[in-house]
Amino acid sequence: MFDSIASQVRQANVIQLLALILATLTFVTYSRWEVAGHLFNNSWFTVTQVRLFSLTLIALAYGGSCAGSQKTKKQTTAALVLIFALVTLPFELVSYFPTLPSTSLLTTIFIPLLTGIAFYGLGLAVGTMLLIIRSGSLMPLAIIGVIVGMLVIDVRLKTNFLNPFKGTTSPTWEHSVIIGIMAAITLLFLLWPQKRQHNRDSRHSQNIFERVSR
Amino acid sequence: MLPPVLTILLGTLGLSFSYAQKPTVHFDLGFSGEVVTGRWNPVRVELRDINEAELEIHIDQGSLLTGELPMVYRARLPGGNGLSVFKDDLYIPTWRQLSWLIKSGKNTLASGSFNPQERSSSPLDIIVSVHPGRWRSFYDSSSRVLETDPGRLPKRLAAYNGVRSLLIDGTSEPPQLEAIAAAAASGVKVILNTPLPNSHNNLSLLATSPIKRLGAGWIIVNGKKTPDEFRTFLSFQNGLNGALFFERIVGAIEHPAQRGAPPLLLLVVLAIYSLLTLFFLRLGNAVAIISTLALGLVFSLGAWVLLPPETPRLTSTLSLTICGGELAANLRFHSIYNRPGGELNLDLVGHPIEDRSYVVSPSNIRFSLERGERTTIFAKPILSPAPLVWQGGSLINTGSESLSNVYVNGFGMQDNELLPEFALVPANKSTTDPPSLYLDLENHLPKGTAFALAGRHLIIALPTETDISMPPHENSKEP
Repeated sequence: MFDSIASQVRQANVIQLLALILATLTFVTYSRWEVAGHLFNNSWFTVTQVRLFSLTLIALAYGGSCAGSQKTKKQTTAALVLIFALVTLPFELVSYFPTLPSTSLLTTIFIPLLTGIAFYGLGLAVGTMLLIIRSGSLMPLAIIGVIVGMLVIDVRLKTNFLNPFKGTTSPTWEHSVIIGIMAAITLLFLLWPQKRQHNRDSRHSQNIFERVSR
Repeated sequence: MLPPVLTILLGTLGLSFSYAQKPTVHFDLGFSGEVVTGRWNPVRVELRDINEAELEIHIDQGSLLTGELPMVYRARLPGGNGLSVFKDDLYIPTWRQLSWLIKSGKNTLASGSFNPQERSSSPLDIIVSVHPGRWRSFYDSSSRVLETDPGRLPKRLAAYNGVRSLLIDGTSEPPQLEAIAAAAASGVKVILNTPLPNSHNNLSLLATSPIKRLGAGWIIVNGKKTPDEFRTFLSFQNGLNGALFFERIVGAIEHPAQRGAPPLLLLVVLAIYSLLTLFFLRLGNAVAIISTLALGLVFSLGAWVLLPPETPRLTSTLSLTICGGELAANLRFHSIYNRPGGELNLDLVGHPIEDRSYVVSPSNIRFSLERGERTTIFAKPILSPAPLVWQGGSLINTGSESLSNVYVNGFGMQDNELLPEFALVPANKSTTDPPSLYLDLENHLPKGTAFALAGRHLIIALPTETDISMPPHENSKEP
């Protein structure tokens, strides 16, 4: 399992994506560290939103791309999303302590992890639905649509239940519960023992983006 | 041996006395029930034969536009057998509802409310006399004149915050010297109608000259003044209580910006972390992944150790001491920034200068602040010995701290430092500019007013004897 995760992490596209995120977070932390006219360091508010935005997009995209793949592939990709969340955690903590926000330390540690897993599961679900209706090419649009849809629902209802980008800056217990349930369902799905039968997945294990590119 | 009839009579008399001594509660806010809005007012509660009780004063500072904006005052009242008296001072903001309640456990002992129609921010003119009516013509018809028992005059400076004048004509019992000193230091014009009887000899200690400054106020020996001359005294404003004056003081409170690690060092550390993470992951094996996660853990712990949580609250205090003679009124302004939003419980007694909901007690104040929100608490003024005194033509540092930036209105900047127990004679040697705060304030104060700083402590020494028939700004224009 570790070897398959390691081999996936080693891929150039993963390293490039991670380099992009680390560079972005480094730049954001540095540029928001001392802002003229501000008495306090408020860098955490920007860093946590950029991190959550990146993790949500990556999780949805990887989840969607793994729809129709083998379970092992889904598990290793989920682990990859988790690695992204873990290696970006120091950026959040570095800015958290000087900012001293009202948000608890546990929230700032666990909500992004749960968000990563939850949105990976959502990506899997959206990708699977698109496969069923044979519209895999709409996957990039569907990712944006899911995020916009969640934002619109929250804005319309004047709540903060679904908006993933405010999960740490304006945490609510409703959001934590929803994200927690989504993450739990994803983990259950990923860790549930696989039935020993030959299904279509074993013969068509290409991911959705490979199918689109064909 | 008493005859049986006399025994029965005495028993009945004793019984009637014991019924007459019922537990009683007496509540008094302001002077004789007159409250001055926007000022500190005395609170007095008398309990007789009542165990410990609690006083609650509820004030709604809101309006039709803002809605309810509650301010609650809570104080534990000591009780027991006999008479217990509780005294304190309470800032009464602009209100639309003011009610009070005294309870013991679940039982309400007394309650009441004030009529909003009687709300007024006009200061009070207090007469201590057995014939107050004969002085009524000396005051304007719009003045809030009231009489009070000399024994009930508070000895606390803040209690006189809403008082303009205090007239003592010597016909009543003599008031206590401490009460008169506290009133004068607070900014009250204490008028002594001389000659006073021998019973008032203690007041002559304060009245050493016809007009004398004491703290922020005056001791004025009235003599045979006409009503017009008397009214001239009363109309004089000392400029120390104006909103603009305090606005300048509050504006001068600065908060130094809080800075964490140097940004360049941060950039280097984050770049090293990013490169190490990418290097380990590029190795592409289980050990590399574990190493990456361990690296993240080390950096997170490093952030915890090297960037510890800074102070959650920034408090900057500016203290202002207004000296006149040997006494001074000490005012403190606490400017507070809160980093995480939430409730603050501060061990100080005061009121926020802006409209805000708060709960106050005789020892602390509680209110909520949003993240990054600033408020300024104006602490209850207190009496203190004057640290800077005019004596003849000399300015003497009578305090224990060294004073800097000494400036005299009309003379300019003086020596840079005035050591304790040293004196200086003001001279025209204005080669340097005074601090901008002095320039902001000097127009409110008379010529001859001295300014000095001791850290975040601003000291203003008013000239002991001054011509109060002239407004201060006209005085200050003279070189």
